[in-house]
Amino acid sequence: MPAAEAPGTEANVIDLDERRLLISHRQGDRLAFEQLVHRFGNLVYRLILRFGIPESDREDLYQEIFLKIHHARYEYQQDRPVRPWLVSIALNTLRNVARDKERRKSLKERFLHTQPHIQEEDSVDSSRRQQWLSRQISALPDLQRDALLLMTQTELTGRQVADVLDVPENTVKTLVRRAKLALAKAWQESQSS
Amino acid sequence: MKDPCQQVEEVLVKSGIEAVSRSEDLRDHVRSCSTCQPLLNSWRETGALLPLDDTVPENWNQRLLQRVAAPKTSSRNQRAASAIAATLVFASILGLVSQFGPRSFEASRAPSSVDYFAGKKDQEAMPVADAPEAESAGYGVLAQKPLFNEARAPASELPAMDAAPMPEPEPALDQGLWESDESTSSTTESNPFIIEERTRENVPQRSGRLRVDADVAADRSVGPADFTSDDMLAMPASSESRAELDRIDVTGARIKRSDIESAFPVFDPERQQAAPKPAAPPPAERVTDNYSGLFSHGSSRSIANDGNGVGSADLAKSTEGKKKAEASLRRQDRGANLNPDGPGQVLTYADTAGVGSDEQDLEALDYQSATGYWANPYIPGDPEIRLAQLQLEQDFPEVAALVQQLESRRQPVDPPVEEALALSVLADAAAVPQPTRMHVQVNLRAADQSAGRRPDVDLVTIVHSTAVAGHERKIHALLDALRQQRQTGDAFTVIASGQVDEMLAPGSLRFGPMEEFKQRISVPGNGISFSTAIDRASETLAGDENQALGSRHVIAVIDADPDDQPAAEAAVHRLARDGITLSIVSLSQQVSVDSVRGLALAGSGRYRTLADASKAEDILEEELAASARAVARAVRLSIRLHDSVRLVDIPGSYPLDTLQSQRVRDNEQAVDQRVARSMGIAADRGEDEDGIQIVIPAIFSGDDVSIILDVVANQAGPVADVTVRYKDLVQLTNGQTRAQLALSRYGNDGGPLQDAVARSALTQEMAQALSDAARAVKSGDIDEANRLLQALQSLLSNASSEHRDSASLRRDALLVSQLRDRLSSIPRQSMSQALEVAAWRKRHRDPDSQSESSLPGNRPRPTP
Repeated sequence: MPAAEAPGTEANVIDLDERRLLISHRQGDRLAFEQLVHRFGNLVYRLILRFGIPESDREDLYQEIFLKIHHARYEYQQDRPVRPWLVSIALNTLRNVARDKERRKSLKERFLHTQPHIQEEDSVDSSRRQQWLSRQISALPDLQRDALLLMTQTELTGRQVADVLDVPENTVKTLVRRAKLALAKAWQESQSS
Repeated sequence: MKDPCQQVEEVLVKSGIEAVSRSEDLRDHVRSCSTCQPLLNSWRETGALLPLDDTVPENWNQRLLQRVAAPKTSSRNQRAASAIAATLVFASILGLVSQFGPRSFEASRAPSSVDYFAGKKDQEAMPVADAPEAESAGYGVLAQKPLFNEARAPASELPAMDAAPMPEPEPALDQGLWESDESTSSTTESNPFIIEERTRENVPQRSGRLRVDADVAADRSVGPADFTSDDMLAMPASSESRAELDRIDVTGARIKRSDIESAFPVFDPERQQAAPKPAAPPPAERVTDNYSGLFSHGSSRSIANDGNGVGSADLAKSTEGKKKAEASLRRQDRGANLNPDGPGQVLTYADTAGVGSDEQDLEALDYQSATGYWANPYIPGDPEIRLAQLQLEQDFPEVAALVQQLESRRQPVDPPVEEALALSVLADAAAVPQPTRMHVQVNLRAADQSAGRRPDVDLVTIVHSTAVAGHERKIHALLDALRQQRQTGDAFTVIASGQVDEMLAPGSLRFGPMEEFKQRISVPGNGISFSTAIDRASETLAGDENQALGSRHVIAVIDADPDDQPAAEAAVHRLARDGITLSIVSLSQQVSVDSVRGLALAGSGRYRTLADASKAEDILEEELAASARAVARAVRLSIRLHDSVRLVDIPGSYPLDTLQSQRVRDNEQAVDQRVARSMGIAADRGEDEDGIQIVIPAIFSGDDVSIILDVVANQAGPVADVTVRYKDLVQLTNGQTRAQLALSRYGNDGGPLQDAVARSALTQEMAQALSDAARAVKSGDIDEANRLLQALQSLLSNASSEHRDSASLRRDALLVSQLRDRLSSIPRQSMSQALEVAAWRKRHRDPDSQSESSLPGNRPRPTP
């Protein structure tokens, strides 16, 4: 009889396939890692976009996230789905970057005070709408931002998002709605102005 | 009663938009409320704002996978971590020694060193000071001096490693970021005769520490033991022995063969004897041609006949002949005949680079002292070759198109992520089995940093004109561009000098008075000298000492050499000391490259050529924005060669005399002080350092600087220790990066990194040969030019059979052949220009090339 899985870790076919890929990757199958990258690349990229990462840093961050996944492959527990684990790594990396960005902002501001010629790139995205959205999402409280992005961008279930964020499932829903409300208000204001 | 709008918000947050629709009261309110209705609409719209159809840009995944497969490079943090790990391993080994009694440890080494000498990190940084003397003997050689006072094994027990070194480990590239897993390992399935630990990622691990399980230890009375690839043993392929090896954990350090034998007595001596002996290293052959040494990394190959009546290189040239060949290579004699043996003898790489010669030949070389200040080979700006290129395109478009196909390539260095500069040190040799001549390449790569808005600039433009007809358009275009580029806060001044009357343009650059100035600048007269004009500029810009570097700038627009060159250089030096930079914009081919380059160097500025009046605005824009693109200032490179390494030359640079060195020091300290005042980065300069010192005033965003050292390494071990100190304008701190290069005695045939260095050196030689041919054509010696090009063609053809990047070498050989065919068919002047342009294109990256980044920092470097 197979061992009982941890709660919230029921596997579907896709999930089992993803687990197989990661396990193969652990055993040294580089093709498996390539498949993992192709499978989760868009997901990671969407998160990077929505986090408002400047265009110049996106690819580096993308690589960094996958390298972390690569390095952390032995920490993955086989009886758990891959996607939340992978999303957690991406999310933590992005959080760290966001924090660093904040820290560096003050440094840069100080720098700009004496050296006004080096400024942060103004444009985050060529599309104004995406730019606006990224800015608004970045301005949300961290938990609201994370809950919103995980629920809308990663195809995780509410339960899985709750696991990743370590909050009750209902709280996730509330956080998402609060984030949506904040965005809606901001959108309303931008439209009226 | 609660505000209905607030109620709507609460329900939205608590239960979502569906709950609002379900509640009749709220639904009615929303219909009539001018606040809630748009809010709900916005709610729906923002939901659609988060699309799921964003896809990863092309090539990201490809680059990511390449990075995962690429060799791991150690950062400072990693080195620090490995140092800590080394300490822990040493401590544990000491503990084990005391626990299990005296063992015959050969030498305890840090895991990083073990990896290195196992050939896994051939080119990775290794602390020079940390490399034990014994290690310098190289891979496969047992330590002569144990680091600890362990009992040494009897000599009879030691395998004769010099005579029979072990097979080489797999290339580092296969390993990449698939770092060894030190917790588990399993025996290789592929070769049952050799102990070859493999990690879970199938990475060979031929050195490490054996940790024997408790039950096995009790059964066989053995304890923990170390092994290295020195101790590879033959072993039977029985499942029993595999089972034993399955219990081995690899944790670093090394041990003698006898310990393994005692630990695992299941080894079958007969099978051990029957096991294939590892191949001996190639004997120290007399190297037939130096070119082959470059590309075969030490092995010997001869240059074959190229089918054009060109014979192979003479393998046994006399020492004197070699000396002559080497002497002809010296920078001072670059213009001389590259083929010292006269007609009939073909120029080969042996006569040029001389890499890989035997000991006798190496002793015959002229060595230079690897100390003191050397000239900075990096001056950013437009190349002087633009005019020639333009002329060629007009006169002989076919030849211009031919030359256009020759191109240089960017060095394989990733830009830094956090710091302003990334440093790497590479060699074109992977091992030093015997005294070896090699190229060591020091690469600096600047961060790709967006410049943003340029700062306000106090600018003085000196128009040093000879009033020669033909240059008015360019001068007028530059003055118009000045007017257009002027921003609020800028202070622009224009001074006329030379063979026109001294004039000062109106500061406002208003249309009417400016037109008058432009008219008069074409009228011959008696003006002030260039050095006086610079002094005037200095007086104009004198003021706030704390202004940021680059915000006070002089652009000297000249159409002929200044008459008072030494005085001008001294004046420019004074400018630089006061924190005022000077760039040169040349308008004519009559301007001597060397003289204006000296001025640009002294002024810590750039050297540009205005080939076409339409480019005036671009040039000015780049000049004005330059200070915003600087990511590092006062970059001080200190290259220390190990005692066993001798310097032959630094192509593109030369040792500075006392006066020049003092000027470099003064400029560096002036920048240091100024940066400290304006940016708060602590001043830390004033001391000379050991080794070769090169000071680069500023490095701009996206640029890369390569310095190639031609050296002879007498033995394996540390080769070079490079430190770069700089004012980091990205992090606003004093930056310092260090990298070392050490080579083992036996290594693999070299990988892409070695190839890149070899390719750089070959490119440099090719550019030099083309320049020499251009000079020969200019002087009318077509035969000599033909001979040089023929030799170059032969060199490239032969190199293409050795080098991985054979296609591009073959293409270059073909292009050289086509240029050779046109030697007699087009005028001398044009042919000389074509060859000069070709040489330039091999030395520099073309800013117009599509393969390059569009960052403004990616400008070509002019000929050093």
